[in-house]
Amino acid sequence: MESDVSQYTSKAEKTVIYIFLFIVTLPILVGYVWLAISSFAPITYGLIPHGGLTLKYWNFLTHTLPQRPSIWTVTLNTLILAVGLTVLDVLISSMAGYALSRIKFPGRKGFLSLTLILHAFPSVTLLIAIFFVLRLLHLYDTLLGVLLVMVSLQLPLGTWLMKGFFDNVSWDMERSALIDGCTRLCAWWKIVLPNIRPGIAALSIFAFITGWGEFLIPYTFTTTDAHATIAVFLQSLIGDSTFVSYGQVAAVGLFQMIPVIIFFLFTQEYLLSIFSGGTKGTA
Amino acid sequence: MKVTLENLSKHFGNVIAVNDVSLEVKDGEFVAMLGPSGCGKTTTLLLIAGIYRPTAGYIKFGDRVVNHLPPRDRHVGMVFQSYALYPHMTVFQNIAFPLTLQRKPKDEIRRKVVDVATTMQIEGLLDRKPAQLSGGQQQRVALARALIKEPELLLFDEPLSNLDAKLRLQMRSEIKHLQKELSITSIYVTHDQVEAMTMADRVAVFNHGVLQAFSVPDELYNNPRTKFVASFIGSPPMNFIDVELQRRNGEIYLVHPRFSIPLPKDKADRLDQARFGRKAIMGIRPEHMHIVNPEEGDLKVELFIVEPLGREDLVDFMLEGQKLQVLAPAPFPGSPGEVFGVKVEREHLHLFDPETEKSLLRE
Repeated sequence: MESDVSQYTSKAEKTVIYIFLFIVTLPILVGYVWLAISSFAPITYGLIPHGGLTLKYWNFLTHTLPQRPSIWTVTLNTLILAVGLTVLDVLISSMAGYALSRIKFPGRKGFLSLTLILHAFPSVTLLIAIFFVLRLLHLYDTLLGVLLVMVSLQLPLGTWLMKGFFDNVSWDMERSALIDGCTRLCAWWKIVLPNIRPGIAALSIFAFITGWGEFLIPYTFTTTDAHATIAVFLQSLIGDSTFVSYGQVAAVGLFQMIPVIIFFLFTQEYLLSIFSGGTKGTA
Repeated sequence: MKVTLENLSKHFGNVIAVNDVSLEVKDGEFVAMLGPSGCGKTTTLLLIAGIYRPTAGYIKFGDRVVNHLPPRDRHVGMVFQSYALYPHMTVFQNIAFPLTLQRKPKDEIRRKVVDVATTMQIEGLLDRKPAQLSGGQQQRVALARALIKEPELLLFDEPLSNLDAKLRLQMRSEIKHLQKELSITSIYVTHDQVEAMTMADRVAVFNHGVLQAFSVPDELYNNPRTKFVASFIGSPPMNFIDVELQRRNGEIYLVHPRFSIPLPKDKADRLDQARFGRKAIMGIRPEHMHIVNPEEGDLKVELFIVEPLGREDLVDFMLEGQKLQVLAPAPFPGSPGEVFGVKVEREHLHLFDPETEKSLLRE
């Protein structure tokens, strides 16, 4: 793609495009830069640190802050939720997406529309209802409860995405698998799924990043400190009625962000395939 | 293994894709299912493979009704138009797949894969992925994969359509030779009548989901049951002219504003008496007419254009606004506008009913 553009745009045009892109992304970059600087300086005016550089805001890594859980417990919780969300979302979405793509069952059209509507539905309005459901199931204030709620809210999008990827796999390949000796499930697992690897990767990344940064659901449905996630932990640093240590907030924020940024840098190619709507490079 | 279709029908909602089809494929026979796009031939093939379930009727392998048998239990091998190779596996794994699913021992699998790959002349490609192969090579891999489980029935869905003309000719004879050698009952779907005629022992002609004719190629060519079969088989296609059947001096004539041709006695005898005085459609193939001087012909026509075919020339004439095509030895020395005579070979005349389009010369 890059070479195509190079052929038809002059150097001047390219310079203008890059300048424009730089200006547009500048606010975001500045935000990240502020975050990094603030986590190492006692006071930051604008982007300029005052009072030398210090590591004291990073003390949460080695010491437990007063009246708060250890950052490592919290990180573990976040990891469990993110990975759990990814695995369950991908598994259920790929099965549901396959059925929607391939099998003609009564109510299929209605189900598809429902998926779209559910995805657009603001989850905030469901909070109270979910609270009652979790209480009923004795899952309130548990990681499992939070995980199940997060999975349910992600499934509509996941299913829709997976269906889109399955639609791009040729029917003949599956038919060939069935004739070669596969059952439907075997064809799904051995032939179709390997051919939507980019789709699965894209959904996994999307689910992981969403799960890692999820705030509202864990915040609303857990009360015990030990069940918090990093986002909830972060909120507790800001939400106190006492003086807020922005340096500390910046440090924890950066800590939460780093795994995601690294992850994203390595996998952004796959993520973009969600928006281009399908696999490429397969027959 | 013989394959029998009894009153087979397949409906998709309101669409009748396959309409009451009955035919029997003998053990070891090569049958082609021929017809234009959308005529139901591929649907019928997929019904036989077990991908689709019949709406009505029966499919029998031997004496056993297999309507509800899933594809994997039918001992069928199939080659698709798109080859349907598995892109994430190597050629070896593709071919081995049916045996891998049967949990056969590794060394047996390896032996059999190499065997069939050698037969298909692709033993050097086993480590490649499908995307690295040419169309012809992919097709051989698809064929190898279909053959490896030693099926009792081979199904082909327009396998040569995606190949270039030269390769197509080569593969045609190779597939036919292979089938004869292995004696596996084979059903071959195609829209190319040349393919069907050259490869098959018998050809089933379909149109709009209905089986029009099922016979040996010669019979379909010389004695077509319907106008559709007559027009579909043979290239260039048969000419059709509206005529009226009249009795004159004890003989039957095909009468047209521009000509009158007597019908030979053996054909006239086959006609139903009630036909006389009524309209009919006359059919005559381009190769069964001769171009002569205007006075010597059965009819006079004006030349429209000459289409050189190399070995012969296809000469287009205009007759009352209808095109009449005649094959003549190359090169044909005529120019547009010139008037010629055309002589019709009486023994190759065909007649069809204008409404039912059935042949009037068959019982």
